Amino acid sequence: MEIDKSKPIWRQIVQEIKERISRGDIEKGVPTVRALAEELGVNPNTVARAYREMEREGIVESWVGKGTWVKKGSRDKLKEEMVDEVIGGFVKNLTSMGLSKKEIKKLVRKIDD
Amino acid sequence: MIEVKKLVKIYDDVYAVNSIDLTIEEGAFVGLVGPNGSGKTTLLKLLFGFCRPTSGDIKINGKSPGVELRSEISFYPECDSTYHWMKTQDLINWYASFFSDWNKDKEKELIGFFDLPRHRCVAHLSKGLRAKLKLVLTLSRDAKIFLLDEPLSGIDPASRANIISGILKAYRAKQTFIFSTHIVSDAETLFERTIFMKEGNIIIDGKSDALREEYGKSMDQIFKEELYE
Repeated sequence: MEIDKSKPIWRQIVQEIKERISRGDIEKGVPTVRALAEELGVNPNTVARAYREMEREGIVESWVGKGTWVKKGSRDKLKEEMVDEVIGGFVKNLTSMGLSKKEIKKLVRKIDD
Repeated sequence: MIEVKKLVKIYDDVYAVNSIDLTIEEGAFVGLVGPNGSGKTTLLKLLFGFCRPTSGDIKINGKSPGVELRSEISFYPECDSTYHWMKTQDLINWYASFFSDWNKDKEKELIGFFDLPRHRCVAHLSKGLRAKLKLVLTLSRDAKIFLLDEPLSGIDPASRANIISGILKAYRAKQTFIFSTHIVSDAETLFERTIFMKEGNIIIDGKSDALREEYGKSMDQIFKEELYE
């Protein structure tokens, strides 16, 4: 992961972990705060803040002394979120080019299997 | 906790530190950033008790800087030690004997991590290895507060990452770190909070991620663009 130092780092960590979960690179155990901090070369408190945010969003849960774990169903939920995001962007791009939603639907149907 | 109120230090009519108010919570990792001569070293020396303030007040965990607090604070000086005739491991053992909070496991871990030769004369070490030796001396204690004065100064870019990783490895929860530097880009991801100094004053002070959001800039860009205006 390449860190963009001109944007909040904790948000980039949230994004990175979400991507790792949705790709299936992380199935159950999320790296410990210390391990990820050393891997990325960032302050452990920044990683901890990212984990707290993901806990708040219901993606992971933390157990004292046992680490942080991916909650059941998170992978599907995150995949769905990401697909929605990509489709949203795709439709927005095409509508800004002057296409109507009807025309976009027509184009999508033309995609080969 | 470190509490600084209206701190002033004047050297020969020059305000090295010009009325600084500052609170640093326990467990914070703070970057103290500014050009040479901005007052960073003077502030660290005042916190450690190397010199006395002209006026103002410093309280560290409720106590004033001085001999009593030295057991709680570990200081990394920018200048080199004068014990050049000693061998590295002998110097480490000798230094360790002064501190009851010496952590032998940390010492071994850091020596290994930095690949420091144990039986070479300090005089024959490169500048980078001498800096790593100083870091072993500073970081192998279980002190509460670590004051690091320009640990990246004179270090070539290739070795900086190794030094930064070593510091990250040594950092434990509840320990407070203040890391002064004028080389910002390599170290800024370590700083939970960044304090920018210029001409003895604090110009900008905030959580690094909040400053990134506010300015849309890295700490390095803020340093280069906002401090030199």
